[in-house]
Amino acid sequence: MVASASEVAPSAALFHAYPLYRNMLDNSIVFMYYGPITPDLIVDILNLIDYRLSGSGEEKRISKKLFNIMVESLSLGEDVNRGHSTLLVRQLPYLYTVSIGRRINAAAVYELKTFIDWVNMLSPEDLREAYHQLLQPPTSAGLPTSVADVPSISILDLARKSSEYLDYLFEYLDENDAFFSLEARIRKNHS
Amino acid sequence: MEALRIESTHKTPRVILDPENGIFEFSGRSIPEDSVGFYAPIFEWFDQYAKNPLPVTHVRFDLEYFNTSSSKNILELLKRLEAIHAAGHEVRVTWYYDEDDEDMEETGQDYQALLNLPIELSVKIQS
Amino acid sequence: MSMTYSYYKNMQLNNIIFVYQGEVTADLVSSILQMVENKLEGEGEDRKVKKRVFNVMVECLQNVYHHLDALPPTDASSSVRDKTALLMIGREERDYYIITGNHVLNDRIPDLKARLDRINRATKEELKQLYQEILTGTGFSEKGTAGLGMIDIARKSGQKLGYDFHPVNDKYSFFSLEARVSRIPEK
Repeated sequence: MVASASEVAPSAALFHAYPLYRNMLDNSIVFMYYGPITPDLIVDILNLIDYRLSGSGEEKRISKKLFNIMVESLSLGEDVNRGHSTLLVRQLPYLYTVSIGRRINAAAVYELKTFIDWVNMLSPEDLREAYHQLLQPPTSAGLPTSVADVPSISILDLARKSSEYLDYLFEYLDENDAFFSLEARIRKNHS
Repeated sequence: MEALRIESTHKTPRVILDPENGIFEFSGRSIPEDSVGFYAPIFEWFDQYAKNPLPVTHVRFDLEYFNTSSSKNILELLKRLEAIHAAGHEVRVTWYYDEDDEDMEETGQDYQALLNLPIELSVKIQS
Repeated sequence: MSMTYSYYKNMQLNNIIFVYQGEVTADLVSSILQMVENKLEGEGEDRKVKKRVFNVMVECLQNVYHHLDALPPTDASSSVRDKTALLMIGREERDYYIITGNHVLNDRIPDLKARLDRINRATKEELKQLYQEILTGTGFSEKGTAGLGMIDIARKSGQKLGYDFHPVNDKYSFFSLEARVSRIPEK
């Protein structure tokens, strides 16, 4: 049912609009962004999500949590010399998720994966301990301050704030770069 | 000593360090482009201040949100206060947090655990 | 988690800057406009281009509003989330594009198509005339504003409007509208 005047050359994106809408709806995706991440953008995205949450009557405690997690997720995707990052926010009935996707050095995939696996196994007390160590770099007790250009403290921070398992994905893009995405979850009934 | 005042932006906090009026305050958000650059003059200010501090220094932190690179800098700042405190001058810190913001409360607890400094956690009065 | 990667590729491929899916409120619209304004500002986009993107966007969002407003109350038994919309902006080498998507009742389609085609056939001068006719109540829009909005978008964008009606069920279709703004500043 596509019909436009003959001289119109709309973008391919127009005809992807409905499939994209359906896809986002089915996956409960509220917002996605692709591009460089700057502090200004972080503030604007937070504003937008704030209105979205207040529109859907979200509990203040959960909004705050989501906010704090978004701030750190966005920081994790910030200032990358390797091109654009991606942010995805999902709003499910019992869960929010914040995913950040960016390029990293392909050679560091294993190291980063190992680090996140390790973080995922830590108890809340151990997480806290590791976080405290990383806050004070000279006494970091053998913990790397960054893994594959990703500040390790950001990963610990997200793990602490979400109190859930951090999901991740790596995709090799070429011999230098890999795509890395990290998803933090906020459970609405979390206490 | 000369006061240091930095107006807030939508990504950096308002800073007031005013010994004459006894006001030491950080309020707003802290997600600067360059957090080291933002906090450096504040550290310098405190290094000067440490030479001749007031009998009582009461510092208030009323932050809306901040990232981990700011947390490191805030810890650095608190360490300077810890040193002033250790030198025998009274230093008090009040860490305000929104009742619904358990992460901000937890950050306050982190600082309490890491420092030998009286840090009081205080629920913000909703305006 | 592979989802993030597939969207990353999709956004990269289609030069998308951001996409929002959901209910559209006035506050939300203003925060989206703010974000776009700051983003274009931060990236040093030409002042005129920036203004034009902004103006077209305001009208596009307004247009979605009108369409959602015109829908009958949501049928609780229906699985169609008829009040949710799609807002998207992209940047290609030559143009910015703004795409909005919302549900419309199927019986509105012939009229909407006729209007869009008429708008797309019109010259700049004719668009201006059409706009004035509607303003003075002699033009084709029975409700006025909805027709006016699309003409306004066309005038501000300076390019043809792209559109697509995707059938959803026997009651609704999904109406996508694309407005483009040239990145080559006018002399």
